[in-house]
Amino acid sequence: MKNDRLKEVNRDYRERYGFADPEEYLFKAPPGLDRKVVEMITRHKEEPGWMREFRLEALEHFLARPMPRWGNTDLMGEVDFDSIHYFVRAQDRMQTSWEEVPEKIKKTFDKLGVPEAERKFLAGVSAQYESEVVYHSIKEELTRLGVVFLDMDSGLREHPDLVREYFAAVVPPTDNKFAALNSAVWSGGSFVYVPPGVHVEIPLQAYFRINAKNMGQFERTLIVADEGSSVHYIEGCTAPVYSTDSLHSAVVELIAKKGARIRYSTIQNWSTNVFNLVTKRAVAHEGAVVEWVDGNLGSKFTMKYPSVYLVGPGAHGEVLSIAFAGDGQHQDAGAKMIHAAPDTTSRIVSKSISKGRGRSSYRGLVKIHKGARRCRTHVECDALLLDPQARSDTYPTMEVEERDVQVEHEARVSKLAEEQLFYLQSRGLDEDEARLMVVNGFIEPFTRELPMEYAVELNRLIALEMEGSVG
Amino acid sequence: MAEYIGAGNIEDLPVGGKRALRAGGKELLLVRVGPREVYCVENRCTHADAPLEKGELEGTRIECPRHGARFDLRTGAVLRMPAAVPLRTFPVRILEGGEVEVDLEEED
Amino acid sequence: MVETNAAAPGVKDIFRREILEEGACRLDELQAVRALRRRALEIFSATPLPGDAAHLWRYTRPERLLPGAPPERNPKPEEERLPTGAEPFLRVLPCRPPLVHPGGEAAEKGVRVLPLAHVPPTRSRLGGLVPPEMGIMEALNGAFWNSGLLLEIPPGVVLEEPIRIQVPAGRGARLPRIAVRAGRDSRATVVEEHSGGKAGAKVVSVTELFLEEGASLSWFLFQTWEKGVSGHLTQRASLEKEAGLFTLFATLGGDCFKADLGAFLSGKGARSDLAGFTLGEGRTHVDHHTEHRHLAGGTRSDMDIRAVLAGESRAVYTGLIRIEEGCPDTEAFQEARTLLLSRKARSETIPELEILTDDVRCSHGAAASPVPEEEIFYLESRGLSRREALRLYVGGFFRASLDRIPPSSRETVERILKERIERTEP
Repeated sequence: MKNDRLKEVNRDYRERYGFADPEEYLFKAPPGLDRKVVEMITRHKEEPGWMREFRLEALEHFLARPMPRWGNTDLMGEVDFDSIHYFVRAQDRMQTSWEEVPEKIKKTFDKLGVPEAERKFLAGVSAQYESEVVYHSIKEELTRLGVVFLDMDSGLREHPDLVREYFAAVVPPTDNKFAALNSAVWSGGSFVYVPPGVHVEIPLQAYFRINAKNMGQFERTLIVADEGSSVHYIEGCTAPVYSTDSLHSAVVELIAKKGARIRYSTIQNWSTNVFNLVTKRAVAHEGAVVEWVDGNLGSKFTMKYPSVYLVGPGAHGEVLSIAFAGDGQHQDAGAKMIHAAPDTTSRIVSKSISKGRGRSSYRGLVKIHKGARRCRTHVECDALLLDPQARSDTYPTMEVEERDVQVEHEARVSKLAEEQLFYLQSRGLDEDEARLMVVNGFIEPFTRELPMEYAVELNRLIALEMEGSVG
Repeated sequence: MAEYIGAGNIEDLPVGGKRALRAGGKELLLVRVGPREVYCVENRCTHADAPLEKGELEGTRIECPRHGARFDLRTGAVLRMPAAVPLRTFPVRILEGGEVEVDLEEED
Repeated sequence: MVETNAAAPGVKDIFRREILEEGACRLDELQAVRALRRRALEIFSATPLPGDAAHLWRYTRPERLLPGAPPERNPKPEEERLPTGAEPFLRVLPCRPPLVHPGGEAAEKGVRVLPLAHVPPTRSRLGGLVPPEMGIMEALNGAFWNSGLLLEIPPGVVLEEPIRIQVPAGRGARLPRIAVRAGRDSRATVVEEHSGGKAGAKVVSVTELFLEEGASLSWFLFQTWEKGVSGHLTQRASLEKEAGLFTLFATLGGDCFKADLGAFLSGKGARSDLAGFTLGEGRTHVDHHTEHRHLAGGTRSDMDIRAVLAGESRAVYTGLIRIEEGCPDTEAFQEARTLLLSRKARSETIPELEILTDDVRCSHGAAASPVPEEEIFYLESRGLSRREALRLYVGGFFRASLDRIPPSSRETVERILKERIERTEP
């Protein structure tokens, strides 16, 4: 039986993940970015004037701002902004029910495993195909509760005041070059608003994929959990393999008001030519809890540091992440916890696996502002190296401006423990299986936080990545 | 105990003008927003320590030139992230001869 | 009175080619040494002052460390007078060959002390570990060092007594430079003492340590400057096969101090062990960087960095462990602890790992916390005053490092440490 499971998973890989539909577009902006493109996007979307101004200001900022001078500047330098299409609209327009979704796209989702989750959760599915949402269904229950779960374009149309109040309040366009880019050309993403005291029991899910040569995806997600409410949002990505580079630069903003709770889970599995440069940030008010559960498996290069600004007393932030860097991949992921109020607590658990010549980096910040008394924070980074030329980096920063705090950071780097492998092999597993089992054990603290079907899919993906890793 | 110290004459600072100062071991920013309206804040963004003197001014609002955090000069309050804590502010008084004085008294 | 921000003091206007060419350093040096200075000057002129986007300059402004006056030309007369009867030591003074207080085991066993200016760079390996390309401070020192010594420990020599190198700060700018060549299988202990200085004095110092195969060197670096003295210190060591370096630093003085200490573990089986502690009080600002580069297999590095911060002091620690490709069976450990005594103190810690080999055992830990009140309470309940209790606790926090200091220096360090703790608010 030994390799059968792996083989089975692997057999349909190309079918499942390595396909590409012919490109058919209703609307596609020419490559490159200037005022004209931004004007075209905003006109096409019939946006209000303030959003147009916002986009144009962001564009100016994007053009004026140099590329970051930290991190993997070589890889960042490979991003060719002029060869990217900044807006691509899918052939198919907004859908309201599953039945109306075109067959071709359903097949795509089939291969991606979307229907499983769809069947399981009759919650809203907001699946982004190309640069715009093509299918969207909201469970009646959510509507009844007053929960807003829309793609961002619709959110802006239907709830202009809500969106205007919170949009870019957490990540201003001036924050960094990629946030500026997203602000100028954003399209799609989700808008979620949970009214006070409402608990959304089922996870809200969204699927994204890229499907055009040199196409960028710039979705923008904003989740507002009002006082005492709670919500779990799941973002999963998987993408076909392409020969030319692609840029994905999302902005995700979470606002957890007093006593609210937000969990945001991501399984990122872009194809290995995608540059995934993402800004994810949350604000947690008094007594609120924000958790980022973040898995990075795909892409050529990911830069992503989910952060929580703990601005209210007693707020809690958590980041639980794994990164898997295979040959030629660089996962530059991490977390930031900004303690700006007393009695706030946070925890970061980061696990990374590097294989072949893969490189994974943890880059983190824990900041205790003056006045944030009695804070506690704990950071734990574990890196596993599977091959002699794999690379792991740990770059944590701790800034402490207050005395009565507990700040702790620990990190470990090691290779697969020979003893463990030897033991498992002595119990009848071959080396491939033994390695897979050790790796699955290593990421178990992460997988156990995922809904079951995601955990299963993640384990399959890991098995795929590990396939033939011996020797 | 107030501890006012001289910070130059108001005539030397045009409306909308900013001036960086150093006093009592602190980096300060003096901003004149109106004919008789001058504010003094710590010249250091609470987000990433960038000096604010080159920041854009709009009324009583200043924007950090580095990451775009915004503050209210009157209270130091954060108006936009990525800053999370307020700027320190220092009381200012303008004497009859136009002399501007800043109170460096410690908070806490 | 309020002062308007003046333009940064033009260090490049002060440190010009004329100073270099007129032999400001008055060391009557070899042409080959002069050629290295000129090269360093070119790099210095072309290197901009690092801004806070530069990784190692994120929290410390170079302007605070750079001299605002040309290098001192003469030491104070009393600095040139040697005490009688004191234990042997060397003293590095501006525009003078190193002073050697005679006697001792080192001289008997053939240890040599030479003025760096008179030694061909092929022998001193001047700039081999700290080249001017490293940064503005290293380039400045590389061009304008005005006092320097080479310490040669012959192969096989084992020294029982520590060698003390005194590097007093002055009134203006001093740019000392120390090179050490520890011969094969030699064994020695060196204490580098930076002390003294008048308010406004600046020191930009460089130390290069070459450890040949099997050499074992214990290096103690004490900075006990007076208030008002600021400066930058760069130290790099190279460790050949089976060489072992133990470094201990104690930073207890000065206003603004930045140190960059590192080791290249280039030979198989080399080991570097580093411990350091600092006590910040008043408005002192210290910034320590350590860098351990593992370039061969079977190497090991270990670090233990501790800081106690009182008053409005600020301490920065950044530490890099890098294990290059193809360095199997390597171990690296790092520990950074900060004890916060005051609500106005500030601490920044960045322990970094870059691991390019899989066969490693590597970990780091960092923590910041206040003095546990229950411990202080316990000591107070045993009749100690709060200040005494605090001193005892801080002493305990530093104990492991203090115990490793050679007896001849321990008393001095403990006395200074005690004075500093006395100055802090209880």
